[in-house]
Amino acid sequence: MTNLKQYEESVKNLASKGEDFNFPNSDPKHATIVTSTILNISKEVQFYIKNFDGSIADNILEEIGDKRPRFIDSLSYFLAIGNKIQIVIEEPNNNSSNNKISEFYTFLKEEVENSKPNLEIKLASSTFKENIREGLKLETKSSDFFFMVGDDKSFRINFDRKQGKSVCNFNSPKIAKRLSMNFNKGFASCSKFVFND
Amino acid sequence: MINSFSSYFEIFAGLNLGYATIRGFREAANSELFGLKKKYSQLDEQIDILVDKVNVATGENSNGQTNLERLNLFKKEFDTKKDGLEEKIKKIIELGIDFQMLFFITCIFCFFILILGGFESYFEGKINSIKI
Repeated sequence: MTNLKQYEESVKNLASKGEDFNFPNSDPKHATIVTSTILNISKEVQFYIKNFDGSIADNILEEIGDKRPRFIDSLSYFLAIGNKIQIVIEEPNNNSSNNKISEFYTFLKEEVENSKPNLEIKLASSTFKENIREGLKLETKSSDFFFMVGDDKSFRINFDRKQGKSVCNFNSPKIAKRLSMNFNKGFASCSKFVFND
Repeated sequence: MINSFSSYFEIFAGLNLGYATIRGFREAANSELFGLKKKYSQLDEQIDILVDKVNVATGENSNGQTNLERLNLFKKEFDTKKDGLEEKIKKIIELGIDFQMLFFITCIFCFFILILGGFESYFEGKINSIKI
């Protein structure tokens, strides 16, 4: 069993048992496993993301036999079974890596074109950002604070994208509720995200 | 009088003898009576969770992140749980041995009662024959 496979097994076990346990999650491949797991165990997800460059979502975990980006697969299934996701993006124009439009961007664009009612994508307004910063009483001066919350219970918070400082938990309603409450507060103030052709 | 209950004593003696002498029977009875199997599986599960926690907390080490402190913390927790587990197993074994002896004595007591019952019916037969 590879290390990533073991990691995946452990993540699955902790998620299914609903363990309240904070753990770091910095590496993009490990982050792909955790974010996909949050999608797999949740019915409603709030996702505050920097851009659509696909740094996590486009990862193909070949080491554990994946042939397609796991996150996109999980999100595709998540939407297909009628679960709801709200995405707020901060940088609207950064949707590629290595000058190649990310698969994540393309996937979301197609889903929006297919008018999926359970998918809402908005552009972060200044009110939204303030809400997040003040509502959560962020002490960090880093503007890199992004997160994903599932069912007011599980979360993955990114403190510093460049350094990859992140923390996750599959059962911490107290923190998850705070994140989702502040997300929802500012969500209405955000404008609809428009995909470029 | 005793003979009226002799079949119950026979069953009771059998059960006690079974518990005291047959290991499989004792283990099955212990599992059912005291929920040992459940307790074991709960402890197993707790250890599995602990291993998963260590794994997710240190799983990214290949990228240069040192989680030695975390690992040590877990090791401490693991050792505490292991000690607790060993203590529990010890208690269970002691409990099993006590019960084994107790059940064996009860079995012997039941045999005495049955023998007494035999004497009783023998003398009852004698008395009845005198009356006739």
